[in-house]
Amino acid sequence: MTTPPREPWLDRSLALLEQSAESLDAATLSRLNRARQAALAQPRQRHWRIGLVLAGATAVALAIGVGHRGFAPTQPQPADHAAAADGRTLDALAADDDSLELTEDLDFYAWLDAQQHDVDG
Amino acid sequence: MLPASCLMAIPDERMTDDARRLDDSRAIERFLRTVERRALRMAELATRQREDAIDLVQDAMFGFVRSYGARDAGEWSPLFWRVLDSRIHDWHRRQRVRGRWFAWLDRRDEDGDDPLAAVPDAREPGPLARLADGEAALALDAALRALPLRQRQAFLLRMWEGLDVAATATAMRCSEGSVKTHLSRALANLRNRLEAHR
Repeated sequence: MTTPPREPWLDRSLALLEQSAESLDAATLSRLNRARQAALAQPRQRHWRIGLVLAGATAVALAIGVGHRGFAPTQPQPADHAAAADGRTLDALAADDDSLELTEDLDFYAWLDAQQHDVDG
Repeated sequence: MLPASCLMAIPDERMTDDARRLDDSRAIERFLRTVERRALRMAELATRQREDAIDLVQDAMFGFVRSYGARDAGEWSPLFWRVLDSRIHDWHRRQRVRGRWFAWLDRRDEDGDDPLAAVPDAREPGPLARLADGEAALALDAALRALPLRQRQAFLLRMWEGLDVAATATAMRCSEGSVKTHLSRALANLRNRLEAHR
């Protein structure tokens, strides 16, 4: 397959454009040269370094996530602690008649303790 | 204690890295040398001002080296033109915003300095008008300036810079279909205006 010949106006336009780029004055060329040197003097991004940092950050995030999920079922929450403790206390109190009497006589034992302090003091 | 062979290997390795970096810098410099003049002309056609055009090319060089300098040399060309195209669009956006502000200030303060003094002078001879082939160059300059930005960029990148359709699409951040549409319209517009100057 051959490409069709370019129209004369297009050839001429492209030639004029090329000519205009080649005919830049010395002062402009000097400024372009300075701009180029300044651009080259700056640090460049290394894409493999960015990838490495991202991969590391992802790995750390995954490790934290997996660790958190792995440990979560074996570590009861504070609310669970409180509920379990309350349950155990109630069970123990319900199973032991003496304990029930103890809760009923708490005022008596408090009074007794105060009396003892007065005697000691 | 490190064996002697290891001690000798460290400076060699460092020299290889330095040499590679120097080679990379030279390759980028060669590339920028090949594109900078056309880049300046492209920016000048967009801004109609030499100073702004040089600033845009400098910004594009900085952005290209910083973001894409580490890429393979085969990818450089569309990426450089992409950065410049982006800078040219930013410049146009800023001009539009500035134009709105100036118009608003002009209504509020009729006696103040003329804000339109900062707007490019449409009568200023463009980059092509300074050529010896005066009439044809003037006509081309006027025809290119009259094109919408996207059409002009498609024409310059595809026909002058010689990028293929895919690379032009990368440079202009649009689809290949859009490139073909913009280019077709640009060619039709330019043909209408320039065929008489054969």
